[in-house]
Amino acid sequence: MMADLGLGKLAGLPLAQSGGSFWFPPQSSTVAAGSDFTYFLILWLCIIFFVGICGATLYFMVKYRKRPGHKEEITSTHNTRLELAWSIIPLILLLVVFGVSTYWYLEMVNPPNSGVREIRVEASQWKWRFTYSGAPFTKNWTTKKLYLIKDKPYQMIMTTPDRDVIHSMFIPAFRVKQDCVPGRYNKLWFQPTESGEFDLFCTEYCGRDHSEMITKVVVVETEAEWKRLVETEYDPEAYTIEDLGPVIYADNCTSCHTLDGRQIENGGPSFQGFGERWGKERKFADGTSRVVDETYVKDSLEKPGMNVVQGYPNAMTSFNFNEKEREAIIAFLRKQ
Amino acid sequence: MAGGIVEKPASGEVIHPKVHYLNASKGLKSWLVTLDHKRIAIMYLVAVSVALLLGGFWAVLLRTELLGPRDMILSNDWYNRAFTLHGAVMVFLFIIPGIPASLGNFILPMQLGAKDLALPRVNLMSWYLYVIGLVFFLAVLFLGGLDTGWTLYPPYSSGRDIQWNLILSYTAVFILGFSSILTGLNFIATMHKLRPKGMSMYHMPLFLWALYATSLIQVLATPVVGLTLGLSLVEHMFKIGIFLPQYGGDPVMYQHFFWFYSHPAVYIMVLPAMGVQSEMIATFSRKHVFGYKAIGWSSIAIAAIGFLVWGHHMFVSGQSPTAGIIFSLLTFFVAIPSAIKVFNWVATLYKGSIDFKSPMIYALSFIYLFGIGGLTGLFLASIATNVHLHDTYFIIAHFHMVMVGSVLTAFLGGVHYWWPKMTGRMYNETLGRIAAVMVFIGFNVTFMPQFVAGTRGMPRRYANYLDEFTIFHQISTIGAYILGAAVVLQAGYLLHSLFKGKKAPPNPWGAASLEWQATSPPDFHNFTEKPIVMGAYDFENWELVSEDAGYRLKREVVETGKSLSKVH
Repeated sequence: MMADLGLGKLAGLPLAQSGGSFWFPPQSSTVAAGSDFTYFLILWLCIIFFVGICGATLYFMVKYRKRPGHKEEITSTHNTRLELAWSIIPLILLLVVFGVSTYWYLEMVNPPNSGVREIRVEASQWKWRFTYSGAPFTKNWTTKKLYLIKDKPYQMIMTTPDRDVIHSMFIPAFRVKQDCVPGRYNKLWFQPTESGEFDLFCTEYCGRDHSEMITKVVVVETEAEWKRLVETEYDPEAYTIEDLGPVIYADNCTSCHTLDGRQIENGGPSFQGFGERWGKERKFADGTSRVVDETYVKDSLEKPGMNVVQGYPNAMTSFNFNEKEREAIIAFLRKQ
Repeated sequence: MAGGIVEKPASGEVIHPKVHYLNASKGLKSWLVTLDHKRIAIMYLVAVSVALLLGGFWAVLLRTELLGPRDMILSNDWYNRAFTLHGAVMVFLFIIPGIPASLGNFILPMQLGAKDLALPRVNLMSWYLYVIGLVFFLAVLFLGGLDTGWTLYPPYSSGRDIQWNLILSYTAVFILGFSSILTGLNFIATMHKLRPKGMSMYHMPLFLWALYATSLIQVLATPVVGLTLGLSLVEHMFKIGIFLPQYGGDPVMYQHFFWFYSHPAVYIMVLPAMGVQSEMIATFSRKHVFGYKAIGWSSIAIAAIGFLVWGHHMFVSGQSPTAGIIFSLLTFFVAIPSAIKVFNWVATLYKGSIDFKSPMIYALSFIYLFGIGGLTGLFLASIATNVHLHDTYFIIAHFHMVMVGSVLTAFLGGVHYWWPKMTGRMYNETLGRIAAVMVFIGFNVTFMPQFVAGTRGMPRRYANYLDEFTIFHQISTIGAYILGAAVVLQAGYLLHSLFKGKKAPPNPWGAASLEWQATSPPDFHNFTEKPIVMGAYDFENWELVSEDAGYRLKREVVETGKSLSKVH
C-alpha cells in the first residue's frame, strides 16, 4: 500500500479520527484499503502529469517571454508521432486504472457466499433506523445507531418510506456509500475490520435537517457485547406506556412538532393543547373535518397526507408503530 | 482568397470610426428590436453578468454561513435556498449561455467575415426567451426561493404539495432550454451557410469549432431536459406516476433523464471556454496553434462521448453494477480528448513570444486550473474511489475547478480579449493583470481545501458540519472573498473604461482571425470593406505599429490579398 504523503503533520491539521491520515479517515473495512490504493495510484499519476504540464508551461513562460530582442520562431504545426504518443500512452494508463478500480469495485458489490448477516436500513427525514432480525434474537430489534461485530460480513437492505425522499448512507471509515430510494430496495455489504465508533452521514440532500442526519456506527469485538447494546438501546417492552411516549416523541417528532406552541418553519402544528382538542372536530386543508380520537392519531401516523391541518404543508413521513408504541403516543398527546 | 481589396491606411494612423454599431441608431427601442448580432450579444453580456453577480451573491452568502460549524447567519432553510439558487442561477443563467450567447454571438459572424448570423430574428427571440427565464427565476426569489438543489430531484421537489415557486422554476428551465436550442441551431446554420470563399471548416478559428460542437449538444440534448422537467411539472400538478414512488413512479428514472442532458451540459459549458482558450494562447504567444485538427476534432469527440457517460452521476443510486462499470470505462475515454487539448496548448507556447497581457494570464491559469479540474475527474470516473467521494466536497471542488476555474476564467479572459473590439475602448491593463492574478489565487484558496475535506468525508449540501472540518471551510471562505473582490474590481475598471478608456485600435493584440480586420468598435455591417480571408493563426501577416496603434496588415498582404503564411 502506498503510504500517505504525511502532509497532515506538516500542516498541523487536526486528524479526522484517530488512525486517519492527511487524506482519509482510518481504513476500517475490508474494502477501504482497495479504495485508497486506487486513490493513491490515480493521485501519483495525476501528480506526474500535472507537474509535467505545469512544469513545461512555466519553463516556456520564462524562456519564451516577450522581451526586446526575442522573436517567435515558426515551428511545425503538428507532429503525428508526438500527437499519437500523447494520446495512446495516457489511454493505456487509464485502462490500467480502470482495471484496478473495477477489480476493487467488484469486491465492494459482491458479498461473501455465506455467513452474511442482514440488517434492514430505513432512512427517513431526518433519522436512521436499523433493524436486526433472526438469531440470536427471537424478535426484531430496531436501533438508531448501527451496531456491528468486528470481522463479520453484513448486508444492508436499504429503503425509504414511499412518501419520504431519497437519502444516502455514507460511512467514510468504511469507504462505502449507497442511496436509500423510496420504492426500491438497494443493497450494500461491508465487513468492519476495526472496533470503535465511526461517523455515518446522509449524503443525498433531503431537506431542512439534512446536515443533522448523522449517526454512529458502533463496532464491537464480541457477539455478547453486540447483543447487549442492541437490546438496551431502545426496547419498547422495557418501558411503561407512560414513560414510552416521551421517548418516542424525542426520537421521532421534535424536528417538526414542538410542545410549547413554537412554530417550526415548514414543520407541522405544535402539540401544545392537543389534549384539549381531544373529542372535538378538527378542520383540514381540503375542507373536510373529523373528530380527534384514537383512530385519527393512528391515521395521521400511518397515512399523514390524509388529514392535513389547515395552514401546514403536507410534509410528514409515515410511521409504522406497533400497538404498544401507538398506545404510548396517544397517551402522550392527550396529556399535552 | 477574397479579391476586391480596398486600400487600407498604410500610414499606421488608426481610424476611429465616428459611426459604428453602437451609435448607428439611438434610443432604447433601437436596442430592444435590434436584429444586429453585436447588439444582441451586448444585451446577452449584460444579462449574463447580472446572473453572474446574482449567483455570486448567493455563493458569498453561503460561504459566510459555513465559516462556523453551526448557524452563523442563515437558518438551515435559508442555507438550502442559498445553495439551490447559487447552483440554478449559475448553471442555467450564467455558465450555459455565458460564452456562446455573449462572446459567441458577437464574434462568430465576424470570424466568418459575415454581416450577421444566418437567422437574426431567431437570435433576438433567443435573447427574449433567456430574459423571460431570468425574470421567472427572480419571481421564484420573491415567492420564497427554492430549496430543492439545482438538480430538482424528485421526490424532494415534485413530491410535495403544489408549490408555485417550483412550477415557475420548471417553466423557467424549460423556456431557457428553447433559448439554448435556438442559439445552437442558429450557430450551426451560420457556420455551414455563411463561411466565405476560401475558408473551409479546417480554416475556421478553433473558437468556431468549439462553438460548433457546443451547438450540436445544445440541439440534441436540451430537448431531453425540457421533456423531463415537463413530465415533472405534469406529475407535480396532476399527481400521475412517472418519477414519484407513491404513484408508482421511479425517482431513479428521473436521474437518468436529467443527467442525459446535464452531463453533456457540462460540455456545453466547457467547450466554448476551450475555444476561447485556443484563441488567446495562440494570439499571445504569436504562434500558429499546434495540432489544429486534433483540437478541433477533440471538441467533436468530447461532444460525442459526452452523451454516453451520464451514469457516472449515479454509481450509488441503485443503478446496476454492470451499468456502472460500463459508464466508468466510457468516462475514462472523455479524458483523452481533454488531455490532447491541454498538451496542444502547451506545445503552442513552444518557441513563441509570450506576452503576459491580462487575457493571457487568464489563459495560462486556465491550463493550471483545468489541469486540476480534469485530472481530479479521474478519481470520480474510477468507481472504487467514486463510491467514497460521491456527494462529498471532493465533487464540489472538482466541478468548480472545471466550471468556475476553467469556464469562468475563459469567460473573463474572453471578455478582456474582445473588450476593445466590442466597446472600442481599452481597459486599464495594470488593474486587469491584478484582477487576473486575484482570480487565480481566489480559485485555489477556495477549492483546494475542499478536496481534502471531501476525502475525509465531508458531505456536500450540509448547512452545519462536524467541528473537525472547520479549518477547511474557513480557508475556503477566505478564497471566496478574494474571488468576490476580484469580480468587483473588474466590474469597476471595465465600466470605467467605457467612459474614460483609451480608444482601441482595430487590432491591439496582433490576432489574425478576421474580426480584427474590422474597426473597433465595428461598423453596423461589421466590415466596411471585405476582409482578406486568411488562416486564423497567420500572425505573419500583421506588423506592430506602436503600442497605442496596435497592429496593421503588412503592405504586401493588402496589395496581393494573399496570406504570407507558408504553414497549412
